[in-house]
Order: sequence, then structure tokens, then C-alpha cells
Amino acid sequence: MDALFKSQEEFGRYVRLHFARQDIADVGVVSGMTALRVMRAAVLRVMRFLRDDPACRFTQLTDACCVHYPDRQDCFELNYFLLSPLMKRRLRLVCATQEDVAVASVCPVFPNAAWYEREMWEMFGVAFENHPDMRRLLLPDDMTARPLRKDARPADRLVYDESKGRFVRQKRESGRQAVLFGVDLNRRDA
Amino acid sequence: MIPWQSVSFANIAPEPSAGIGMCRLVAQLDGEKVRRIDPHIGFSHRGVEKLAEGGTLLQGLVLADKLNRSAPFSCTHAFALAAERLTGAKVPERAVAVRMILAETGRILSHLRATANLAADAGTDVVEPLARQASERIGAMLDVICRGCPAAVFVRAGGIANDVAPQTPEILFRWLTRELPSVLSEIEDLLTENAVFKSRTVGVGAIDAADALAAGFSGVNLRACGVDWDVRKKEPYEAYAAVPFEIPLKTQGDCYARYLLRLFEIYQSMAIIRHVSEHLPAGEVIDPDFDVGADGGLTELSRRFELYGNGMKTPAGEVYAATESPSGEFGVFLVSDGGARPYRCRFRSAGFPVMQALNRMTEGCDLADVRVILGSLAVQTTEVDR
Repeated sequence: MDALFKSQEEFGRYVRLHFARQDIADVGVVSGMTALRVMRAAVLRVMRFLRDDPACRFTQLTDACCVHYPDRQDCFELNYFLLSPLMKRRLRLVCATQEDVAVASVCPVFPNAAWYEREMWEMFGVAFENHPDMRRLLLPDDMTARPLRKDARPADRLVYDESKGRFVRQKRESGRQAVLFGVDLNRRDA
Repeated sequence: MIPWQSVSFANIAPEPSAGIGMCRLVAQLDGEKVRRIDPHIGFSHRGVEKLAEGGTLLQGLVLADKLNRSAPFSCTHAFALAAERLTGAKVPERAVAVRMILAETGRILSHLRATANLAADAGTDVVEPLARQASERIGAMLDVICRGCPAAVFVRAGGIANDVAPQTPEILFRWLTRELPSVLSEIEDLLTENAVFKSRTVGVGAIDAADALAAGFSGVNLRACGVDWDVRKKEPYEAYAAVPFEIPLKTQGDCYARYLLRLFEIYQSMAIIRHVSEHLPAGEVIDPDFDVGADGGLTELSRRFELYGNGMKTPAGEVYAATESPSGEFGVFLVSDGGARPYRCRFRSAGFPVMQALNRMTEGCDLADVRVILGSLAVQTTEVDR
């Protein structure tokens, strides 16, 4: 790997050494990239360490995205992808959070997290604390749905009701119906 | 007297710079100087990430194709790489070589268009016909090489859709030695020492390495600030490790440096295509597990239903595949729960952080320079909005 660490695992252990046991729940290597599972309260501290520590130097936040698991109690999994061009290393920081608990914005450490967090908020409804500029980013301002959630339902359809002489809201059939040769293509295990 | 125009707003829309797509910039101006720019994106948001969750990996490939209209192959390529890392497919050597040829041809095409757009933004339209002519030539050439299949969806998880035409090396050789160099030298003659072009680009929109890294820049935009980072070199995918090529660097970080780097990269891409097409391996073009076969019988038919209808089951897991697309790092993050459709599909677009940093890059510059700066960054809003 490099002169400092023999393996990704060793690097993960190095990071873990600098924090209390409960701060970093798990360290693993997923598809060749170190994955740190960090508790919500420690995200900002771990990020700052990863950016400033001379053996880490993760100077770039490449991407941040959210994955929704409706069955879990901590239903959102925030993934922050970090890159260290100097050390030629990538890292994924994972933080699980709930719907009604705000997680600290990482903008103080990586200013370009601002748009990623705006996107996670509008697409999933993840709440962020101390965000400098929380507005909708990609979606129209009047949209209230959280489209990327797994439990997202299509918005009501506006249908013209001739007897009432006005447009009325009508529920849409849930989801797209796609059955091909008796196979329901919307089934998850299809 | 307070000048009436001391603070005014301007909407720069619908296409603030040539060829980038739909976008609206709300600029707060102080006379002619830009004080603050608030980019409003999302006009071409089509919910591709949500759509990809409803389709198989093959359907996701076709969705990815629409992301970047100036470099569609780079997006499908990244998606195929992610799908392969998830399923553990083994890509045959011939397919790897063809994919590298297509990726580098796409890079040349995209850089030529970016250069023409930058020239148009800086006030000269003369490069546009040259670039259009060259890209039409590339399109016709790819038609022959890919046997009529659109080059962007020629790539498949596990290989490529079909074998390339047998005369591919000769076609590429003729293009690389006879046709492309004259176009490039003409563009260089028109722009590189052009006083007007230089006055609009040199020193304009400069950003330093630390800022560019913190802003999330990648690709040419990052290398123009002197950061030596290219995914092809640093985290080689396909067979880039086996091909001799160089990563040109500049340190000025301004529009002119980005323009020069694109030109230099075209020459490097030419070297890669030349090397790969001269050593084009023979053999299979797709992993047998991902192939429907071609016996024309019942086996092929049932395989076709299984692969294209139900889709191939993927092991549960998470993968991130990054590629060096012409506009920067294009990444695909796939989460699978073991079914045939991705549980979550995330596209990391190169232009997204660049649009975000536009405010900082244009601070204090002239209003007329905004479009030049944006043009030099080679953003595609279809990719930004996804």
C-alpha cells in the first residue's frame, strides 16, 4: 500500500486509536476502500482529524450521499466519501441517523458539503445542524415530497371534475405497474 | 451621490455559457463587478438516481448514458465498472482495450467541444465549425467501429456488447495520423497565441490548489492548479497501468491553463488510443456469465429473458467505482441488497462541486468574464442535475 501503513485495515486501526471506543463503531474495508462507521456526535471531530492529521490528509470531500433503510431505527445512512491525493487513499465515512434528530453539518470542515447536504435534506429529509444556507437545490421550491426515500409515494394527481367545475386531487395508484410474462418487475427479488 | 447601480441583480439564464445546458445564475452586481453569484441548478433534474433503483443493471446503464451529453461514454463506463465490481465479473482483455479506445475517443470529443465552447464564450466562433466537423467525423468513425451501436451503450457490465469491426485499427490509425492532427494544429493556431483570446482567459478565474481541493474539483480543473491527481494514473482501472502516457500539469489555475491542459490531454489520449489499437488483443469480448450467447436457439432465448427481463442477481454489498471522465471524476456508488435492482444508485458528478464553487471563482470579476470562467470549467448541467 504505502510506506506508512501496510494495509487498509492497519490504517483503519490507526484512525480508531485516536478516538474513544464508542465514537467509531466499526472499521472495515468495503470494495477496496476503508469504511468508518462513526457515531453521529463524533462526525465533525473525526472529519477534522481525517483532514488535518499528517498521516491522513483527506483534503477533499469527493461526494456525500444518503441511503434510506425504512425498517431500521436509524433509518438514514449518510455516506461521506473522502479523498487524500497526497496519500493516494480513499475513505468512506458512514454515519447512521434518524429522521427527527439533526446531525451536525460538516461544512465547517469541508465547505463543499453545503450542496450535498442540501440535496440530502430535500431528497430524504435528513436534518442538519448549523448549515449555512439550507434551501432546496434540485427540486422546485414548492415541492414537499422526499422523492428518494423508499417509502415515497407519487404525488396526488389533479383531475378536472366537470360536475364540480374545478380541479380535484386524486390519489395515484401506488407505483408503476410492470408485469411481464407473469413476472412482477417491481418485486424486489425479481 | 450614491450611484443608482451600486447594487443590482442580474439573472444570467437560460444558458449562461455556450453549450453547458440549462442553468440560472443570480448575480449580485456592483456596477460591472460581480459581488456574489448564486447558481440555481435543477432545471434538467430527471431523478435518474430514483429511476435506476427501479431498473436492472442493464437498464441503469442506459439511464447513465443520458447524464453527460458531451461525454456519454464516460458515464456508462463508470456504471459498468461499478456493476462489475459488485458482481465480480471478469472483463476479457479485448473488451478492456476497446473500452479504453472508446473512453479516450470520448475524451477527445468532449475536450474539443469544451474548447470550442470556451472560444465562443471568449468571443470567437471560428473554432466551433472545426470542432463540429471533427466531432461529426468521430461519430461516423464510431458508427463503423461499433457496427452501428451507439458508442455510449456499447459497453456492458462484463465487457462490450459486440465485437468491433475488423478494420478498427486501420480506421483509428488514419484518424490519428491524418485527420485529427490538422484539426488540432488549426485550433492551436487560432487560439493559443491569439491576443484577444489570451486577454479574456489569462489570469481570469484563477483558483489555487488548496481551494480547488477543498471545493471538490477534479480532472482538468484540478490539474490546472498543479494537483497531480488523475484516476487513470493513481488508481488505474481497465488497463491504464500498462499503457505509457503522461498527465500534463499546469500551476496557474486560470482559464487559459485549463484550455491548454485540455489540448495537451488530447495528445495524450491520442497516444493511448494509438498504443491500445496497435496491441488490440484477440478473443472474447464479454464475460460468458453476462453473455446471452449467439446460438439462435432456445438457450439463447431463455438467457435473454433471464438477463434482460429479470436482470442478473447481484450479491449484497456496496461498491464505489471512480473513473476519470473528461470533466473530472465521475463515480458510481451502488448499494445492493441481493436483488437484481440496485437498492441505491448514486452518481458522483464532476460538475456538481464545480457549480458550487462558481461563487468563489467569480468573486470580484467582471460580469463579462462569468461565462468565460464557466465555459473553461466544462460543466454539463445535465450531469450536475442528474
